[in-house]
Amino acid sequence: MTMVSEVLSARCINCRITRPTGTQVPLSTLKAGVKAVLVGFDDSLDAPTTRRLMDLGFLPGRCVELVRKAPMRDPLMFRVCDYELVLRGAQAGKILVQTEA
Amino acid sequence: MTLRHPGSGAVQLTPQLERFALVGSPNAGKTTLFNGLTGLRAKTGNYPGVTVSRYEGVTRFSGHELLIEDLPGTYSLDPISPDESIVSGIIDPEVAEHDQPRGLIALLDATSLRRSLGLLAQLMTTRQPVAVVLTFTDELARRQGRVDVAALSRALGLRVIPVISGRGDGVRAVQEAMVEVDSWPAPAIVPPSDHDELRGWVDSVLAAAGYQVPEIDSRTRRIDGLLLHPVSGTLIFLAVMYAFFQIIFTVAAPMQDQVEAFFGWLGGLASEGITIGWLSSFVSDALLGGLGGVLVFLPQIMLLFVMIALMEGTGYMSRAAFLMDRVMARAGLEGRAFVALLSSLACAIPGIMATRSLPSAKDRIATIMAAPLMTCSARLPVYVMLIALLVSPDAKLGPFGAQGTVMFGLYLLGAVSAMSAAWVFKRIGGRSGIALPFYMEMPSYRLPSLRTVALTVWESSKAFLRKVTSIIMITTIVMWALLNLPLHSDADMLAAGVDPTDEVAASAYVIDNSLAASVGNAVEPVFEPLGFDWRINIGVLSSLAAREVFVATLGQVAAAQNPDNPGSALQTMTVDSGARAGEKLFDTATVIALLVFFVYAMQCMSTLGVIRRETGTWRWSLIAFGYLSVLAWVMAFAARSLTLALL
Repeated sequence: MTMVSEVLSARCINCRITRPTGTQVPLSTLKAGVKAVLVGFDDSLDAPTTRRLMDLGFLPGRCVELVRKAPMRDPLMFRVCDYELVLRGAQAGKILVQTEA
Repeated sequence: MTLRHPGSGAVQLTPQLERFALVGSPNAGKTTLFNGLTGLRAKTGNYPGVTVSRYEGVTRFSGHELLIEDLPGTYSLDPISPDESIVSGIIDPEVAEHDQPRGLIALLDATSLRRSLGLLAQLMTTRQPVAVVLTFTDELARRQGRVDVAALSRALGLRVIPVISGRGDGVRAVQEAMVEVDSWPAPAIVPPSDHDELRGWVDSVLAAAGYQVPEIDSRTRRIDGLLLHPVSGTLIFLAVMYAFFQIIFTVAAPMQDQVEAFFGWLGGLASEGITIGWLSSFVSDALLGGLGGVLVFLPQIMLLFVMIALMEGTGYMSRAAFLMDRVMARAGLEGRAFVALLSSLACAIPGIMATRSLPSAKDRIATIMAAPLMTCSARLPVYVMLIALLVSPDAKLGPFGAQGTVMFGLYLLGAVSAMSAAWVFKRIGGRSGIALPFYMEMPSYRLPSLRTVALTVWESSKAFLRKVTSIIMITTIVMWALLNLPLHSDADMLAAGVDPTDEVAASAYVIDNSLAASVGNAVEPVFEPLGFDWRINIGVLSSLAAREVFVATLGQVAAAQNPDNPGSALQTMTVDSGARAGEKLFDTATVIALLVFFVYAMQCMSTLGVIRRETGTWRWSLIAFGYLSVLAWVMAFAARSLTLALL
């Protein structure tokens, strides 16, 4: 393993959440137009996927908005890091957010 | 997704030139800059040992020559697909199997800097020389965003070059920067990798650069409100797809008539001017009747690529993938597979190559096996010819043209079959392996650049013409020989009761007693249940090389059997023996069976070759050929029986 790949694959050891508190909900459960702050990833999400979601801008602490849902309610369009990205409900369900309220 | 036709052979590396690599996420404007830097002198090839395409080109600037490499788009150096492994391998200085570039040109989309700085942070971690090219600065300004380039450069500790797409001055600034690679600043410390620290670093860099977030593109939001709406979006999507096929007929038809008239005129010249019998037959039957018959479809093929380029350039392609993803999920595939299948509408080869963006090997195989079922541009000439035999151009189905509707139906049948095939292959592959995430960036709607559209159309027309002048020409000449050999003397003809001075009767005798007829008759038992006679059989067999050859072969047969009016020869051709003797050969049931046969049959040697290259074994090529051939026969038989039962 090279230095770079070692550094990259060691990321996000402490951003997994085993027992979400009451206010921490899956990103997929937001209503269209609602913003929330990303708090971490469900413990069942594998490490490479978690790291890729972070590379796409889904970093803990970032604000995420569910922009719209596709006609059959999946996939979902999000706004994060000032751009728009589509994820499927299956993955978005593993991203945990805390709503402002 | 960028449509590129496959190049051939490995890149001739020019080691004496300094090499620079363009790195960036998909949609960061890499290809535009690459084209701007290298003009149209790009070369394609493969990376050693893997089948990821490599794009290289030379750029010239005030006496310097530099080699530019366009790396596949990536969001991260932490790879999850074969494409991305190549990118990180080339950039990572510790990976020995790839040559290190002299410098990295990192392309960052100015409208999504908060995300793209993450990739830049990873690039800086490698401590390779990096310069930043800031793209889409014009869009940033249009959306009331702002960034102080000098301050950004200070905050990053890197050289930053802003470019506006379609402007030459940005390209010159990039060339100038590459020449001065020795004086590129290198930051004293590398950015952090921990997620909290990284977020802080990105935010502080952007704050220092006075970054003003671009407003949400209100135009895009408004259009999306309509185009992605559950009801209107779905209806518009269907309407767009439908218009696609009507346009292929209505807009291309007049142009096609022109090309046809031109070849008719040439044919007249040839039959008058050439007095040597066999040469005249070769020119008028093989070259004009055969190749000309295929070239007639150039307007349709160009139009198809114009529409695909427009859908991509405007950003509607991603919307189509968004609307269709749920349907793809049913087949066990993801939206990226949809993009690969959509490319297969042009040609299965770029479609199959596009599966490299799929991280899962199982998904790749399933998509590769499904791609040949998508209606590629090579089927277009066959469909147009056969549909003309089935329904008249004036026939209407309600307000819609009947020909366009049949074409739409064939594309739909191909797409549904492709999805079903993918589903089956996913099932056979088992449920092993982790499911890697599906994600897709939604670009803002943009006016497609005329240059990009023109380039796509030019490239695809060139590829079509190259195919016509190579594989199709060779097969057509072979078919001409088979259709005209063995030679018959006048005495033979007289003995058979044919007047050798009656040109029509003589050429009909030659073709009916040709080697091709023997081959066509020999395979008759296989195709007889589908209603095919030896002439169709020989067309089908010759189309194994490439689908368009079917049109060329039947064009030759028609030109030989009715030299005065080859256009209507197919309409009036009759079956000459067996139970259906005397009946019209191209009756409704037979044409439908043929159309369905072409929906499924794997008649493309290039595709089999690419499957071998992409999967590393002939096994998958053989499986694809086998299952599609069986499917083609069974479905054609079912279609014919059904039509006969209904009529």
